[in-house]
Amino acid sequence: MKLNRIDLKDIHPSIINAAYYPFQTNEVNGPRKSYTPFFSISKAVKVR
Amino acid sequence: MKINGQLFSAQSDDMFYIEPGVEHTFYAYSTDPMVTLSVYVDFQPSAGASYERGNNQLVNYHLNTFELKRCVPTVYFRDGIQLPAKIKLPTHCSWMNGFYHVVDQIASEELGIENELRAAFESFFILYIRYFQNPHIMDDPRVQKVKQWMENELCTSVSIMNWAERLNISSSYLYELFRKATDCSPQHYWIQLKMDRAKKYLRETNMTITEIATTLGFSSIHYFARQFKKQCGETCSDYRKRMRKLY
Repeated sequence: MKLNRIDLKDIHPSIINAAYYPFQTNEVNGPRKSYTPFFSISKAVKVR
Repeated sequence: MKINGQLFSAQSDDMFYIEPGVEHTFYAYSTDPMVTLSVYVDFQPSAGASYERGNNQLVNYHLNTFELKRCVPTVYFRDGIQLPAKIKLPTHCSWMNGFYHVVDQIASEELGIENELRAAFESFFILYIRYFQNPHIMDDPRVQKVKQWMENELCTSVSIMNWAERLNISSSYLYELFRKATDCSPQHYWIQLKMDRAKKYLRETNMTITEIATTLGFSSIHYFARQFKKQCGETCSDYRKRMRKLY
């Protein structure tokens, strides 16, 4: 694994992708690995 | 959510951080379905693999074909900041707006959108780090005073003893207060400040390394160059070259 030790001041973030992923109920998405780090926020949705 | 074999419950407004190459699985339940908003980012695109905005080939489901060399480098912050795998976001936090803006605008073709997305992400990211590092811990006022003096007298070679005398406390007590507040010695903190300023000069001016060393109160360019290499992990010239490639 490549490691890179940097100062916070030196980050130069490049946004590669962003998305809103709706899940079907009971869906399992994975296992998977990503080539870039990512942040993911969970949001509850109303059950119809 | 399963990250690297560890199971996490996912409630609304939980934020997960997944490093490159780390195995993860999302689960959704019929009784408690979720959607996720994700932002894929490269913290330092000059350092390794680079991907175009909108690249949908970032995620590999066939783990046996996963190519480690296609991973962007995992970033470890020298300041000791460690991004947690999961954090509960406070409700109504305005600093999340940058994150949501990135999700909303990722497909935009507006002029300057790359910069806009980066700025939005940076504003989110910095405030997020401050949040989880607990911004409520306040420095001792004496430490704050010394920090202020350090900023103002960055170009001098004042000793710690001078500052302790100004505060009418012993230098060992100042050392202790400083350690408690910043987790490093006053000398180390001051060198860090000087190195931060040196980086700014390297990035934004054409000052020579000798001029920068002199401006920052270093009596010897060799000592300055050694300190820079030690603190920043690369030479002044390498840093300047690397940063200029980015802008």
